[in-house]
Amino acid sequence: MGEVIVITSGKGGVGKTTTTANLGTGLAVSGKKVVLIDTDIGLRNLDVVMGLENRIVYDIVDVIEGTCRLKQALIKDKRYDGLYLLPAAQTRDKNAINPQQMINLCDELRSEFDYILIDCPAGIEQGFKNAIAGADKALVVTTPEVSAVRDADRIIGLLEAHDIKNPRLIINRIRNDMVKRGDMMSIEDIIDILAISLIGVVPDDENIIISTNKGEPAVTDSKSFAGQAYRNITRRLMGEEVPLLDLNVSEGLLSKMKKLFGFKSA
Amino acid sequence: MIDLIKLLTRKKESSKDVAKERLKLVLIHDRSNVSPQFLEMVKSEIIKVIQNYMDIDEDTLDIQLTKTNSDDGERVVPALVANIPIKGMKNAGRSL
Amino acid sequence: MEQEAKSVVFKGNSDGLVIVFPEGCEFEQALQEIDNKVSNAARFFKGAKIKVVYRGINLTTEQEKAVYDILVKKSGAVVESFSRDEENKGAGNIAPKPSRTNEATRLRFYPGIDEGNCKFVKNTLRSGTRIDYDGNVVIIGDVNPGAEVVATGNVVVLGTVRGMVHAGADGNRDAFVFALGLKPTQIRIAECIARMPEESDSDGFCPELATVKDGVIVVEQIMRPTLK
Repeated sequence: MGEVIVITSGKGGVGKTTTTANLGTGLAVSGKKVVLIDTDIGLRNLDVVMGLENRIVYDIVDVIEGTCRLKQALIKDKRYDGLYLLPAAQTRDKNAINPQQMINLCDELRSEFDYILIDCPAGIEQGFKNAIAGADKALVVTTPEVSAVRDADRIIGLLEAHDIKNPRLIINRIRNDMVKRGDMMSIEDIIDILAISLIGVVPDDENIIISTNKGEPAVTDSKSFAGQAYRNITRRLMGEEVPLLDLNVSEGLLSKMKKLFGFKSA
Repeated sequence: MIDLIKLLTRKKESSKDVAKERLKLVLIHDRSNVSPQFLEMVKSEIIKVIQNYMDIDEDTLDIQLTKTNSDDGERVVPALVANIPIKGMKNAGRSL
Repeated sequence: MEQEAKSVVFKGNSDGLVIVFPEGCEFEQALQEIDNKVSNAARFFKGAKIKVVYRGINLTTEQEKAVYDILVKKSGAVVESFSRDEENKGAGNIAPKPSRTNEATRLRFYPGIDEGNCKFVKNTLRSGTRIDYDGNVVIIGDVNPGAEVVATGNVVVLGTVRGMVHAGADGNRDAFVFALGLKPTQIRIAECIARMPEESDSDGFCPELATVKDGVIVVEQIMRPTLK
């Protein structure tokens, strides 16, 4: 039986879609059967991040309204077997589906897939309610900023109110140099405030933008620091014990290397 | 060099501490604001306890979560303000 | 002749309607019954998209056309198709149906593909907008990624297509898509779907025409010979 995991944040732009794409791809690389569901109806983006935007024929609203069968709407990934995308509709709104329909959809997918990852829209309205309806577990994405942490706190409360216990936290876009200077909240600071368990920390990495440009998730890029972080989170999702990525050492090594070769640090 | 800069800037509170402090305050408010039921629960508990000692006017009783200046007057802190009209004391209270 | 027991039966299915003509019924009378039933239920049908199939006796092309006309005029529904139910041929001793004639094919589609209703859109279509029109569509502006144009007739874009366009949406392969710049995420004509090659070869701004040839969408550049 598959596991339904919703990736949510409250605030927009903290990296829900990027996280969904990377974790989904990471799980597929590990040989799992994965389906990614974009529930951001009207503002879909998971398709472009995955590089599958020109293969969409049917979408989630078509499935729910019975215009097509579920199998017809699932888009197979370009590169990885066992990875599928169920895209959101772009020309409809969030009210085109309701939570009960999402529960039914998730239950239908459960028998076919090991993991069902749901990319949740920003906000706490209908779209959020749809996205979490069928979920067993939740990953809350935040960045080390007051606005994102505040919204994450609200989301955690709402998840618990909807009986999704023990959501786990992903801290995205952390910059070790700023943390050291005392100009960015550290991992400890954020956990201290939110008081939930951490599943991973993703460093701020320009490779993410490059990989999004190409439509190929960074998790498959062995040189990407953020990709490494996503690979670790993937393994933790599958139940492995993986130590936290040491932001310190790698950062130091990198700048040492740069100094060694006379590059200016950016 | 870096140490020197650190020395110079140490006196000033780092921006992340400011962020953390502000967040904590905001969240106290957010978390309690989440449900009106929460205040109802507090209210009914308070009434239960106070009624052991005095008669109060339950209808005009008012409990609110607001902000107030801290003792040192420098910061704003959240506060629970209760306005409880007393109608009379109970015997249990007097005998003390 | 006892006709009471031989009246036409209407059934619903997932796509729309099934009309069952009982064996040995009179076509003219059946037609009258359909007219009555459809007229009475016009409010029910209004605005719905339905596909209609029929079972029982074989109809001639003219008879098919007569029933189709009544359905279109009296029901108020968008009748997407009207044809014999192929799956239920076995019922009764019916001769195999001759292949669909051009005439019958034609009446299933939007008839104004060469000359007919046309919608003009005088602005750029941005992500999230959708034009859905029973006829031809002309867009003076671009079609951006995430926007959709669905027309039963042809689509002409005086601008660049980067979103999705679907011409001949009711199944007509004679429909075409023309654009001053054709770089769509996806292009559809009737039931054919094509997407642009992963790496586009030209950045040039060249008018292009997409049509269906042998069941595949073909895009050709339209240039004035003098410009070449």
